[in-house]
Amino acid sequence: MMRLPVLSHFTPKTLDEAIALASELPSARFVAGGTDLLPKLKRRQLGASALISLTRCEELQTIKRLDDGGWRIGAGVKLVELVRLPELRSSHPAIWQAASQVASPPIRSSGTVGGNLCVDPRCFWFDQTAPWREAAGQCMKIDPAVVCRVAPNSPRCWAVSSTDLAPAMGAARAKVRIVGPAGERTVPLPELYRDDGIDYMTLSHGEVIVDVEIPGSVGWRSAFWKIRRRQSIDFALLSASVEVFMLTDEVLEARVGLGAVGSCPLFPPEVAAVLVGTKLEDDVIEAAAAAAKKLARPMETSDMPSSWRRRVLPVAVKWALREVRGDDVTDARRRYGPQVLLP
Amino acid sequence: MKTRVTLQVNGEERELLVQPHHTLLEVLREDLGLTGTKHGCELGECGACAVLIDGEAVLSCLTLVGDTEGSPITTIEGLGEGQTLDPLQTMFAKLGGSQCGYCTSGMVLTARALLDRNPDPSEDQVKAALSGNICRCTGYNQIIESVLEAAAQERAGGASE
Repeated sequence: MMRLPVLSHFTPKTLDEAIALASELPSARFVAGGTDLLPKLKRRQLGASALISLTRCEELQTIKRLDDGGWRIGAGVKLVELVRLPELRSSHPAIWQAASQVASPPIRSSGTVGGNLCVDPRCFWFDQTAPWREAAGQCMKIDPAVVCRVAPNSPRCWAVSSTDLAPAMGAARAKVRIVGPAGERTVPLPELYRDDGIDYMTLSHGEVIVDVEIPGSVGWRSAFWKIRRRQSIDFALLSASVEVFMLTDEVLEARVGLGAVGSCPLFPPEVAAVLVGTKLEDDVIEAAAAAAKKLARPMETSDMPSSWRRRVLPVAVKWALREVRGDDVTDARRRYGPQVLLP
Repeated sequence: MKTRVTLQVNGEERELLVQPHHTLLEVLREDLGLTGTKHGCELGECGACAVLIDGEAVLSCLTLVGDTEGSPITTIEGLGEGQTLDPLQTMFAKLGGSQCGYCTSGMVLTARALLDRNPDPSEDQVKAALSGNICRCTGYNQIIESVLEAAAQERAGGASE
């Protein structure tokens, strides 16, 4: 039986109470759905003296349609609730597609929006059982005295950002509201992250993501493509989210989010720039995909070689761009991620 | 130190002392003796431990027991009424949807959650709904048939035999 380490568990009913508890307990962790954190605690990859559940905090449970057609989505909203929102599917397809491809159905029934944004970056050397890691001599993410096993000369950890919502929500210009002991602040979603596999978030101890505000999408078209080994459950080997603003057939503005190819989600302006002023012709799509390939530097963090991930990243970018152009991508969707077809 | 919790399991209120770091899976099996819920990978990969909480199929191995207070929990022991099996249980038995049986309670409960939301699922929808549940015997065809047949029986009026 794989048990959690001995720890205390608190179930505060308000956000204030949760934050106050965290201030008193420096080695406590917040937990929402627990689908990422609990396995890591069970495998002794992370430690905690106490868990503070956010599941009962009403403040995190909102789903609100905004006047501009956008959304305010509470961090405690379960992923399955997003998947069951046809209005989100039509207004913000990429975000809906990302939510519907996170892990497996039972995990989406517990896993939350905030939890997915906070998924711990993953690496082949880190996401293993304790005996495996011990036999291999550990890695930097477990023990700072050990080198990064992926890049032994590197001063930093290269574990890979594995959230699906972040590339989609970041490309959709989402802002994140955070409350903590020092008060409230709102940041553009990309600013939640640091390019580091260990210290990967800009949240400080006691800070909680309350909700995500996504602006309206009139004139915007979007698509999210995720490539993983098993369509039913796995984390991304890579993902691409594209958003284009077009009132006629010309792209006036564009944003691209790339997931699982670095320690933070990437939002490269140089890839988006290739699309602006075009009609998404085939050669433009090729050029944008090539720009994404040039920029992304996946490391040997996954069970597929980084060379494969570099080769396939532009394929995902191309399919996402064909989808927003209006091509019929049903067959390709069925091959790469059949769950997307089914609400 | 143990803490007191009150759980709603299979329609009964159960007050008990539990270790706060125990998951619902451990409490169901070890404190309540409800061993129909199986422990498989214990990491959220296999679906063997699925139970219904508030009607949703969730993984009891990744659910802290303290988070389930106040929510109705249904385990495989709570399906059906008395000696009458749930149509899903009947069809799993009749059509060979259960081979070694280890994944069965998770499969049946996950399918129950699906049929409660969607009484007439397509085969693709059944496959998608069960895609987080692994059958090590690989008896997926019979499992999918069992779910579709149980759904058809329920739509026809509930008689399972």
